[in-house]
Amino acid sequence: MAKPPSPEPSPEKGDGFSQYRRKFLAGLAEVGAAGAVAATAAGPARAAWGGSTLQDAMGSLFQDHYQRMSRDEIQAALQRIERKALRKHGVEIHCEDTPPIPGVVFGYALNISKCKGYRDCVAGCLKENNQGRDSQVQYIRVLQMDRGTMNLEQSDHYYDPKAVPVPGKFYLPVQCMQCDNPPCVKACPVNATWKEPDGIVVIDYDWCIGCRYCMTACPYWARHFNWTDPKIPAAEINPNTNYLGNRPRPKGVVEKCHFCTQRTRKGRQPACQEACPTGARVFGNLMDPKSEIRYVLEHKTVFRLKEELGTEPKFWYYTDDRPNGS
Amino acid sequence: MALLMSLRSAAGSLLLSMMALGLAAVPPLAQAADAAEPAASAASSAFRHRPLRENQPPPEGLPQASDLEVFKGYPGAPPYKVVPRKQNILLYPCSMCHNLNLPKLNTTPRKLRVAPDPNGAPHWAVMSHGKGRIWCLDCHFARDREWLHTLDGAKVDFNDAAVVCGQCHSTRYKDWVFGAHGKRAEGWSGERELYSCAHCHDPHNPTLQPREPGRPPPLRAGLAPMNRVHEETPLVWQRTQEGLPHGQAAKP
Repeated sequence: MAKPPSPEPSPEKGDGFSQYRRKFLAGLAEVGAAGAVAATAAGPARAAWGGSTLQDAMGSLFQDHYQRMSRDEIQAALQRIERKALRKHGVEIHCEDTPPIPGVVFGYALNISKCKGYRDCVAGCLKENNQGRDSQVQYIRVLQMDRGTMNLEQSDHYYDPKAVPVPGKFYLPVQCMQCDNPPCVKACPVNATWKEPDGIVVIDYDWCIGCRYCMTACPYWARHFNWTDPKIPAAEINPNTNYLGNRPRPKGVVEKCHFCTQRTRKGRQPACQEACPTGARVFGNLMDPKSEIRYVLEHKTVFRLKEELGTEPKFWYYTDDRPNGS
Repeated sequence: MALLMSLRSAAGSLLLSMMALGLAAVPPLAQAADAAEPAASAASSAFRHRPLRENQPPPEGLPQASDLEVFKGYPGAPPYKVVPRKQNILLYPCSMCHNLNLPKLNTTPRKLRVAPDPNGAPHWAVMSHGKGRIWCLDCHFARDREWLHTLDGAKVDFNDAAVVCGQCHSTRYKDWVFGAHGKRAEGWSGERELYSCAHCHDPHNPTLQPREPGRPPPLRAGLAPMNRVHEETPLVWQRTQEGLPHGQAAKP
């Protein structure tokens, strides 16, 4: 598309078409502000459009793709998200846009000798990432497998015994593998999902159109669709959110594990690692040669799921078993 | 013909040279005459193993106990701190009760009395760690009960219990030091804090018991979980044209 000439193309103001769009939006904001003032003068602000005012609805309608937004536009989008959460749930959340840490690529390893199938990771993830409690969106799926087989098709993830681990079974938690060659990114028709420099595959929930092609493409059943409006109890909402992570999602978009960007990009562990009581999960920076994840990959028997598909997942599994049984 | 004769003589000379060196791999017929003599002499004197070349004793003599180095930790390990555990011990400091410096202390491994016996100990005194092969004073320092000790006599603080556990569980200890076992507290970057062994494994009763799992993922109302469907029903390509699996009679 030919770009019209602009006096000073800069990353702040954007260049080309974005400038004109910004001017249009600014004019619209004035109109919207006047409209909002009129509405509030008339009575309590009636939240239409899924909990937004006219100004916010128009703003989010014309919101650009995350990778094309300027810093100001991202700030405006974050404020819209915070206002919407306040109106919808009555909770003040804090939405940030944390950039990836340079020189860091995240990797995850899980010790299947230690995993006992408690599902503490699933519950911790639910609370941390503001997932709908009654929808079927759970980023982590713990498969109960028969010992001696890696047949994932014959696993059971609805297991509900009295006590776990069940003898003769082992447990394989599956979540987004943050592939280095992600099929979901290739499948998305609108580029709403992409791989960030720190290796995490993220989704711009405001750009996703809900076609679910990515869910078909993912071989690990890692992506989940919001068939309903996610209902989160207001007392349990996590107020520390990230734009490309755990901010409250609308109905009709796909979401998935993002290695807790709101935590890991600030040096904290992901919620599943903190929740696991057996210490089966090892998270860290693959670029750091002295990290625990690198020690596991270099010294333990590791494997990945569906290696033959060439997706290069960054989630490994390892065991404690040694040839001499120690 | 001449070639065969020369080969046979060459083989014969080879045989003689091999017998001179005393090596095996000769035809049994030729060896039978020679084997009889060493057997006769072996019966007369004590049977001695002929040492293999690899198993010669070291020229300097065997290593002595004083030459052994005490294990001081893995040099290449990333630095770490241990999350303190002492504050979780119920009856601490131990010198509240263990303050009689008795001249003779019975350190024989035996079964001790435990509460609710009125003369029993109010803490662990009989344990299953090692199926009865380990007893209290193998880890606890007899003369100063607020400390643990290693097998070479060094005193170890309760917070550093991993050093004591690592004496037997050496592979686990190495994994723990490098991060493949146990859990890292706080963040993946910055100060590295590890949970001590005793945080998860009670040394007096180390077996972890099964417990109830979290709730299974929700299903929409009216649906049943699709467990092991392929074991009960045949796969699509296994059904015949009539819609029945091979070898199965039609149901009425």
